[in-house]
Amino acid sequence: MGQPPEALVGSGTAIAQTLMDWSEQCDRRRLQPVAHRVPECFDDFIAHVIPQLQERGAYKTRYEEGTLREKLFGRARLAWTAAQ
Amino acid sequence: VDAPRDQSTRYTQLDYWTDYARRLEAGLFDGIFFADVVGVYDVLGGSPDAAVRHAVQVPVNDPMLLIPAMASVTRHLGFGVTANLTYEQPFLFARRMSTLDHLTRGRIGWTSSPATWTAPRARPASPASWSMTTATTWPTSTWPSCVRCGRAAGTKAPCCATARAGCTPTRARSAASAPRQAIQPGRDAPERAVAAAHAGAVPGRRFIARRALCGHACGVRVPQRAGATGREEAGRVAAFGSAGTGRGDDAMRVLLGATIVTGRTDAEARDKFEDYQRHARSEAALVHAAASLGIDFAKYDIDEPIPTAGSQAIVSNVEAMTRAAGRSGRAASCSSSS
Repeated sequence: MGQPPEALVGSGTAIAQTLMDWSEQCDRRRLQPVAHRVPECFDDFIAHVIPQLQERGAYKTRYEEGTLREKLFGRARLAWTAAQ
Repeated sequence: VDAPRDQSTRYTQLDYWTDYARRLEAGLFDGIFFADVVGVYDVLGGSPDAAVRHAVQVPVNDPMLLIPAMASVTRHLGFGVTANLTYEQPFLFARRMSTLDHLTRGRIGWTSSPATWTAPRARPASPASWSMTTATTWPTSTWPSCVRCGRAAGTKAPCCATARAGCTPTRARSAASAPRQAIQPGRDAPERAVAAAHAGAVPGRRFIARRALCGHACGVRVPQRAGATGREEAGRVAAFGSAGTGRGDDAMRVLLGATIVTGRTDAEARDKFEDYQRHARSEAALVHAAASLGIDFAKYDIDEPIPTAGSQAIVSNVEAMTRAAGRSGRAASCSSSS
């Protein structure tokens, strides 16, 4: 089992603040938490970080309907993709 | 080494994956991405021994077979999956993706990735041509507008017909005779040519600039230590999606990988991290890094600069390490990052 590269370690509040700082640096990012101890790492993220992000308005509180592309871009088709 | 509370040894049990999917959807995750590996990492020391010793992404399932089960217990969670260019046949792969597009109701995406480790080397002519074949096969079936399913007139027998107006048997036969059309499931899939992400290797940069909806920002794992590095790398990846391709600024999302260890308090998170570290092995991390970077670290002394010129693998990671280490040019000291 590999050692995680540069792990972010801290309370839900601290992690949420760091992620929001990242978000300010580039608004086209989506966070991709890397699985390391499954399911514990996701349970912890969901229990401790997401509520903090939601409180700050930085994470959705419910799903919108739609395809994966709609989830990522807010619309079903993107004009530039020739093969659509 | 067994890690406490880690359940990934249950990877051959379907309920492990369906439970995984339910947990993520409860957390409102947009998707799960399967970084698939075909073969065994054998770059470090030119041997698969260390990968097998530490179980580094081996053994693994075929992730595409997990997706319908995970989709069946969720409604919103998306699924990204690696297509290995070395082994997949583009037409058959396009059929499987189009089928998954239907079965998941538009929640499927794929990452194109060539094998970067050493054996065997049956690569296609070029990743871009493979990906383009797939990308053009998936959405361009002439069947969709032809297929209509319902009940046969006068009976209750279900049937699918191609008798919609404008779709003559001749046209259907003509479509079926073209391999890239005939293999498609044959109805309008919800997404069609879905979110394609790319692992950020140099040969893929031109491709993702033109096609990809997402880019994995491999070089931004060290933004805290490297200061502006995270912003620069993310900006560069995002810029691939607009520079010189006619795509707008909003053409691409950057997926920023982060390993997160958290808890109720900072102290609890630190304790957990220290506990995890007791189960981590540096050699295992090197196995993974060597394969994804295309560098056999066993050949270098601990402080020896490592050139990246000519590498076909994910050099953005090495470049980020170089910046993080305060060096310039194309040399990286990986002793500070492993």
